[in-house]
Amino acid sequence: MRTLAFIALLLLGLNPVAAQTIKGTVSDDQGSPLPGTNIVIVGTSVGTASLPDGTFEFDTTITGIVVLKVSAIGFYSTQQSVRLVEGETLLLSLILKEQVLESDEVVVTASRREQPALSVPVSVSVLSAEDLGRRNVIVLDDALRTVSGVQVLGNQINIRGSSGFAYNTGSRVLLMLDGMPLLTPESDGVPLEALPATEIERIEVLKGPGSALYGGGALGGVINVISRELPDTPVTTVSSFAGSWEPVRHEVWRSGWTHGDEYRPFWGVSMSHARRSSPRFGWWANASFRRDSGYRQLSGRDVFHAFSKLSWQPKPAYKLETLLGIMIREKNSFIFWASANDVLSPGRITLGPAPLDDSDPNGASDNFVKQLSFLPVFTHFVGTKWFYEIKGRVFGLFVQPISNISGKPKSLSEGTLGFRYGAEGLLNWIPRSSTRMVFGASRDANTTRSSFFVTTDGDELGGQPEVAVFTHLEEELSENLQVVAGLRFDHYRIDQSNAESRLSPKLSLAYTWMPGQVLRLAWGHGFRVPSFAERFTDNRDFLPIIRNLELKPERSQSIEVGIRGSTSLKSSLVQGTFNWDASAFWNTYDGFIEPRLVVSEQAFQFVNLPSARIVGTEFQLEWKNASEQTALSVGYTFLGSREDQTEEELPFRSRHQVVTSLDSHVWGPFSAGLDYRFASRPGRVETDFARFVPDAELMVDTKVLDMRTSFTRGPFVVNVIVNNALEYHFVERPALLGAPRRYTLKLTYQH
Amino acid sequence: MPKMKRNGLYIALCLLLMSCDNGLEPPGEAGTGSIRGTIEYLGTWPAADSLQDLRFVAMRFVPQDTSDFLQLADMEISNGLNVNVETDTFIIPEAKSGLYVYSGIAQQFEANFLSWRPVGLYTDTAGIFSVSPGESTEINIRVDFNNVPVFPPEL
Repeated sequence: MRTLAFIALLLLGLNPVAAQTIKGTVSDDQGSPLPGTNIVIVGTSVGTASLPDGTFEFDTTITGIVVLKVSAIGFYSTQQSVRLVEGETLLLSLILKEQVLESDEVVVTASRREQPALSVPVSVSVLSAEDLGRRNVIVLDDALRTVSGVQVLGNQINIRGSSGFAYNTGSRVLLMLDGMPLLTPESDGVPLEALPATEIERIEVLKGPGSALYGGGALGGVINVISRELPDTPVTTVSSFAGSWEPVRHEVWRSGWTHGDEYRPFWGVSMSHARRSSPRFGWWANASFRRDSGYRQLSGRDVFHAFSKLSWQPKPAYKLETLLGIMIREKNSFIFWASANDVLSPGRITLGPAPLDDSDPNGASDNFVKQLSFLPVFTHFVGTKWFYEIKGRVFGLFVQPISNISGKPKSLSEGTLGFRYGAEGLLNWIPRSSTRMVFGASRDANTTRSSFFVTTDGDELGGQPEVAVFTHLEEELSENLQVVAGLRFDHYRIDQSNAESRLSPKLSLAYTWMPGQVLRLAWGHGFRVPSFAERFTDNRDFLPIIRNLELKPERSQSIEVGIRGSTSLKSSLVQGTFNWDASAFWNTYDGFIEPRLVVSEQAFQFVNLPSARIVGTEFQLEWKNASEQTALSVGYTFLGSREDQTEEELPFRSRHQVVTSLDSHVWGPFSAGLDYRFASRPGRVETDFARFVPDAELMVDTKVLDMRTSFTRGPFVVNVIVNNALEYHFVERPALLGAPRRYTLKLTYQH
Repeated sequence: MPKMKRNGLYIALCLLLMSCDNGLEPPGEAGTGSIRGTIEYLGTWPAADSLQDLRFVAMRFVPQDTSDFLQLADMEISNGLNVNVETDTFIIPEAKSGLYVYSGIAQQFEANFLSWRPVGLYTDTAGIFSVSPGESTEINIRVDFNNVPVFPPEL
């Protein structure tokens, strides 16, 4: 490169200026290399970032004494004077001291890179591995229910009211694993069950449209599951749990089902191992199985899943990581109850006057599901200022309905076969320490064949390919002001004659107006293309649903202002660390896709609503006492929604949501904690569903208290957990009783 | 925070939360009774191709248009009735107790499941009858195919 530059300068008739090289390593005070550390000559934009092995190298034409600034997230910045001699190479060995931050939380979802949670210009909530462990989170929806502004309705996730109840089709929330979208070809909701709960480092919940970064699925928000880093020493974890559902409170309900008076068992085992086999290669693998007999009739499930992460770094500048997953599940899905007097039995409906014979109830379905995931990522640090990533993704879904007669899976031709595959290229350019740009392009194909779908072009294996190009800029305009801008273009093919294109911009600002307090302003667009299920489902097995070929993408626009802060108090009254966040948001939606009963068609159909808006506020407070023996968090979300045409509220949205959590070290090896969540009864309940299902309009407030204790001795941890300790009965979604009280004992061994 | 204070916080929180209500409760078993009836047919029976189905239907509401036939949760429907007969009987063994305000014999005249119309209504006691838990309610209906009721009903 230097030779080429020399030739170029000769051709221009100029004399080359000798370059000085600064190279070396950066490590922490324990001697571990520090990747991603910025090394900059103060007063200039000359500098670089260290590679994964902590090494760095850059050239400059400056000579004489200069000051180098060395900074990394989680470490105290340092400055060092050095003398640069013309034509010589300066070798440095830099050491950074770890910083004890008031809030050392980092997130990656806000802008596809790791940055302190305090300074991101959007709303992000984080659940740590500790949060998951002490709650015995088996399926991630258990954890997401504790995040303010998030509701789980059946297996659909609703962030700040973006989703209501959509009959298990389509999702306005994008689920990602390590930044890679988990887009199953077509499933009955967000595939939370497919993820290894024990190998999760943290879960980040981005609230608000994320389409400018992540595309169409992120209309309402993004859930990014970050898997654990490989440990320096081998770690083996074995855990098992067992427990039971308590019979429901009311005898009338129990009498409707043969097993209604019984304690219904559930249990599971999980094994994980993680190690670095060599400095260049490491892996973790997890396998788990769980069996749940269910607290309702026809709601049992057996789930096996295995997940593995392989990491290979043949050279410091090259890295290949691959996630592999398989899930095998036999699951009874309880869809709707028989009535509010018989909530444990699935209902049976007929469409119009028809024989009320003894056929099986259609308020439940039984499926055998296999799901495969393959997610490779290649990263190449080309130079000190830029690197690129190539990400692949392949998902397979095989759904076989189980015969009511033989009890065995039927052929795939009577179920769903789907593949989703694609790739994404990302170029990261860091021209200056204060500037970062990302350029990306992706292409995905979604092919699904299902007995439930009738596609338009005679294509039995219907396809919905999509391409996207996007860019993202972060600029620190001053020490206190950061601006983030992004633009994404997506193009989807609906069928042979229909395609949709969408441009999604975003702009956000973060201003540190005083130490530890950051103001933010965010504006962005979101969109979502109708899912296969919403567009093409044509089936009357459970509810009469017909396809809608005219269904258009839905669009959103969001504006949010917020303030986030972190403060330490040492007064005589209150001591400890406070992290707080307050925000107000205004989201407008156009072409919202919601199910409606279309009388002329004698069936439900997904249609575009003219326009709607959701405004709200959110407040979160976390407190840890000085010794970190006690932690308290409170979150409150207010939502006001309105359909512009009818001036009615959007259905199935709770106006008030509260989540609280309290954990403390009680004595010696014992700790205890509790979670309480409240959601007000939705202001409006859509009554079309109640035409078919008795008492489907019945909804109540949600008030759930989970309590837990743990005992830790060496590598062993024992957890005792009581969920829904108040035995409060609520409706998870229309005509579906929420989980009653259950008891769990969990044993974990980690070495 | 001293342990006493912390434990006190737990206890206060638990007491506060335990004072909550119990949430969803069974609305109360309405109970079921049976509806038994006899039907007398007059006039000329419709052609076979317009007699897709024939049933007794009891509704807890007065329908305003055919879309109201989808309110299945508020209706009781008998098994299929015999056609081309002079009289017939029906029974709904487990009908929800309560008032039924619009009941009669319904004919499905096309395959489309909303293509139903009443051909004879229960008209005694202003067309309203009640079903009591554990009891049998008997009604009589006359169907005159030459003079079928107007639908939607005139209010």
